[in-house]
Amino acid sequence: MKRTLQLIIPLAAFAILTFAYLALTAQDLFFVAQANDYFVYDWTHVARISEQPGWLVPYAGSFLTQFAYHPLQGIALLTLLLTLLAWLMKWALRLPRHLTALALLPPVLVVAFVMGWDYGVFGTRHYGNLFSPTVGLMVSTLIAAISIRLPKRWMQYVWAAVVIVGTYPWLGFYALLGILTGTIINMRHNKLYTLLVAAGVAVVPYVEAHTFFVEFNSRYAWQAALPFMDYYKTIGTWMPLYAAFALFALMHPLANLLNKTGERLSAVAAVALAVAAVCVVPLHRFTDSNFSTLIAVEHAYGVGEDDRVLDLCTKQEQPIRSIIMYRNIELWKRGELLDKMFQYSWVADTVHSRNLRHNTYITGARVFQQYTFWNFSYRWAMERTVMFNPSYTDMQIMAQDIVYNHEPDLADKYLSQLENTLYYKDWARSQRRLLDADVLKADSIAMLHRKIVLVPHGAIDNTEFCEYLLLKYFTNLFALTPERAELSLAASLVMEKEDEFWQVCLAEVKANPNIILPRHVQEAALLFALKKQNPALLSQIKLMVGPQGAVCQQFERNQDLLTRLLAQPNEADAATLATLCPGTYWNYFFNDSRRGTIFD
Amino acid sequence: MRFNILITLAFAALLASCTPSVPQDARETGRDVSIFPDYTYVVLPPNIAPCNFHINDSTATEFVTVVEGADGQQLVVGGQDAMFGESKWHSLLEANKGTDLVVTVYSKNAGTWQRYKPFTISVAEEPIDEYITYRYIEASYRNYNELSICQRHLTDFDEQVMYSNRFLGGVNPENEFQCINCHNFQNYHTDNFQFHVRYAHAGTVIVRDGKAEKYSLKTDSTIGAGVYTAWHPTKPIIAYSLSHTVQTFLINEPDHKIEVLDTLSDLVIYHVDTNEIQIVQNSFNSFETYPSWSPDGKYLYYSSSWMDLEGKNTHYELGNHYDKIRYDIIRQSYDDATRTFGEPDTVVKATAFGRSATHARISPDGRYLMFSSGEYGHFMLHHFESDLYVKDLQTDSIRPLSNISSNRAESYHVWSSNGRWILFSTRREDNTWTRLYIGYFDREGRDHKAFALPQRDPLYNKKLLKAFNLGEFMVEPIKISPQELAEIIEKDPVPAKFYK
Repeated sequence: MKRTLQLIIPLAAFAILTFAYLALTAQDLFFVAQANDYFVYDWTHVARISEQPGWLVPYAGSFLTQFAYHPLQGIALLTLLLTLLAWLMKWALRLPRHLTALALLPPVLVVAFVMGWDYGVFGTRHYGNLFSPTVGLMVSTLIAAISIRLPKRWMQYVWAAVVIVGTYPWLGFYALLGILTGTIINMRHNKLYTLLVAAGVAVVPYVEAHTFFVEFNSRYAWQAALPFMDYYKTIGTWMPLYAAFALFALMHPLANLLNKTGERLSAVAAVALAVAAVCVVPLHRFTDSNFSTLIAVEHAYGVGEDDRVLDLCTKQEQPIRSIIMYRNIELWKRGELLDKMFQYSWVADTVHSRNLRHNTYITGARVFQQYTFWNFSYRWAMERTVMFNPSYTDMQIMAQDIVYNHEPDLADKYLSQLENTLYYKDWARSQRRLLDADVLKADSIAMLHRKIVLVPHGAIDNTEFCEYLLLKYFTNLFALTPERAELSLAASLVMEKEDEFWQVCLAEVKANPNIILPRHVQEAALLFALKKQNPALLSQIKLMVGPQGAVCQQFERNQDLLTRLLAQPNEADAATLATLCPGTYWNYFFNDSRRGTIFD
Repeated sequence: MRFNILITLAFAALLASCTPSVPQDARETGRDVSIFPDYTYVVLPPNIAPCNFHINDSTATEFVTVVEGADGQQLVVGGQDAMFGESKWHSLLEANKGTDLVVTVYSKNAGTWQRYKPFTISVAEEPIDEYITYRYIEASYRNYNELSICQRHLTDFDEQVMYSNRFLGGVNPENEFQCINCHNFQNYHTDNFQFHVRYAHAGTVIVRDGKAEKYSLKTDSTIGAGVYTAWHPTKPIIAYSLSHTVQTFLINEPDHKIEVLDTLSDLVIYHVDTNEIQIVQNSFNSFETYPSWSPDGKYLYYSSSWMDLEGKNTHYELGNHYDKIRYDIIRQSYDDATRTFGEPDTVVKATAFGRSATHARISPDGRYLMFSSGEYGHFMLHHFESDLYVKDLQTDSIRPLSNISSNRAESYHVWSSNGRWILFSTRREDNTWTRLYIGYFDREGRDHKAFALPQRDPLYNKKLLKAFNLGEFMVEPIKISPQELAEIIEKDPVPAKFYK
């Protein structure tokens, strides 16, 4: 009984803790990792992936990743596989039961790797990163298990040859790891075998990669099946994986070493090591709050829960520009943009990422899509597809852009792709009704597009900076619809374009004399009138916005302060303004916009 | 490692095991069958790979396709994807050269067999060159990632990578990221050819008599390295356009999302023997591109546009007038003995008709000049209105190749070595992903409906997230391996000299 408990307790504790921890902290991450992966049931997809040695492991990883569409399902699956991996290692490497905790080290480090994922999750060049290390380690474990269980020496030679020559093209690094681990365990018994395996591992992968894989750089032959293309400037993210591989390879000698200290002490040491590995998880976790918000936002958009986005964005204290853009989109959808947009922070944080810092690359496609700029949205989804890999998210965005552009043949291509997936096929089928021109014409989003993007032949030479482009475009919207007026006024406030502001504002008032101007428009009108130093104009504007209104009253209370700031901006008055008038356009004008706002 | 062998074996086993019987009591539907790719009423070369197709009928449960030759020989296959065995296909085509094949499709709906209206496929007498090369590229805007130049054997489905940028690609974008483009062969043979490598290990790889070397064609006196390319048909001379290229993005035109502009564009020739670059045209206000030699090598053809530019911000100036930039086709005679060019002579004055003409290609017999023409610009694949045209150089008449062209973009066309087949790029399938099609140009100078490059999987073009470009005919396979090319690419380039 005791011996059984020695096996079950560590594994059960690991499973329960891993599931609970990931369920509490990583549901959004799992969804986003899944959304940026791609598994389509089609041979053309297999043919493309199989151009690289070791392709089977990421392919399997990608297959499993699709189940993270429902994050708890994905988390349960990963937990199950990691627990199975721990048991498999314990069995394969013949660890004594009291050292079962040692077998937990690699799985725990895999969890650490998952939690260390940063913005790179939005753009990976390899498929299946969420699951492929686990699958790969299971394969390596089985290879090692077989190699140390073969009774005859000649069988070991054959097995080593089969693994290095025969399975390397399919399993890549993990085949090598498995055979090396088995060799380390067998090393004492057969030095010639050890030497031959070492030579084989050193030479064969390069030769095979160089000879048979003409779409693969053989310099990376020993890293095949690992996500090495994603390492650029991010090697730290992947270190727990390498630690897991090293611990797996050295686990048997480590167990032997510990065993020399006696059963009780070695068991304590094994548990201590497992606890130390567990400590790596929170230490390695990427805790950037903007990242957490952004993946929560992407999760919400991904499952069609757009209503949650505003709440998520407004809670972010110093948001990155992507979150500011999403926040404004959601305010705009609610008709609250001009009443609330300056109530939240405009001082943007930079994207704390080592290799993916450009907001347009991360969220440009979706932002353009929300404003119904189908061509630009499509462009950025395509740029991402080209730079990284096709993903469910980009394929969805491209399909939707093209459906709304009414390009049925092209839409069919993308929708057909998604119809060959497990969790996006229903969405894709639902989009097909919009391929009917009459249905599309009556669709509310298509109607919105016609109201916003009126320019038939406009050309822009650069869409690299999504927010700047949109602001510039909206600022210059002179042909008006109410929807365009709102966006135009918002953009001219952000860009501080007084002429454009007055043009649209006065046109609105003229068209609707009884209009109650939105709060920030009132604030801006009063400020810009004050700036002109024309008392008659200011009086007129006060009448226009309503002299008894809260905005006018607040303006009058702070008119001297604003006058001083207009005459000579200074930090002390600006700080006072921030205290007295938080959440106003005045505060944006004298504080936030002066603090190095860079539109990305 | 591709799965071609496995797939071939699987299909062969499948075909051998299940030849269906032709339904005898089928009801006539009186309707045309819809198939993808559209091989109805096309003209095929007698040595082309099987033209497998998918039957667009989502309601039927079973399908039988019968292809019957004039001699009564039949090919019968089952399934919604009509896939023909290679040897039977070839023997059928060989036996029916110069005649028509009749294709009949049967489908079973609600337990009843029905027969669509049969269609014909004509088999020409003249074969097609056995090999083509093309580049796979994503349907990209600014970014590109996985590029490969591939060779395809047209009589079957064998595809080999000539060189892929991933062979030397890797983690670091600064020194392991490269673009490869503009492969070009001398007179359909593969002993002499070239392609460019940009960014990492940049240079132009020139294979001469089977031996490769890498050159840097940028000199202090030219605006850049070579871009669009044309080997002289007999001499060791390569014509290049040199250009600075930018993109402009269209906000709200579904059919036209991007326009490609040259802000600078000149023309040079490179003397391979002496490693010298010689300027042909380099005026600031004229833009020359897409060089091409006449088959006798006496004329250099190219496209040229003239713009009055202030020169302060050329990109901005051109971007604002992108729909006013139009190209004519010019030729200049060339005398190799003196290395001199004659005066420019306008051969196709498209601007006179408010159009733009690019990609001049002279037929091997020297009689026809084929070009693509759209409303403006030079990058015709982004112009859905771009079609192929020919000018008969004997009669000076110009006419569209209406049967070969579609209502979407056609461009980058080449003649086969016998002048009977035209390989071209088109976006006819979805207006975005460029595909290769082949059209028949008969002895009387008439064009016929073009067919898609046959693929083993008939839905390949729909599934593939890569575009084809720069299709080129070859009469023999490439003899140099990717590994050998990579070795050369890794070396430092030999700098070209400027010829004054």
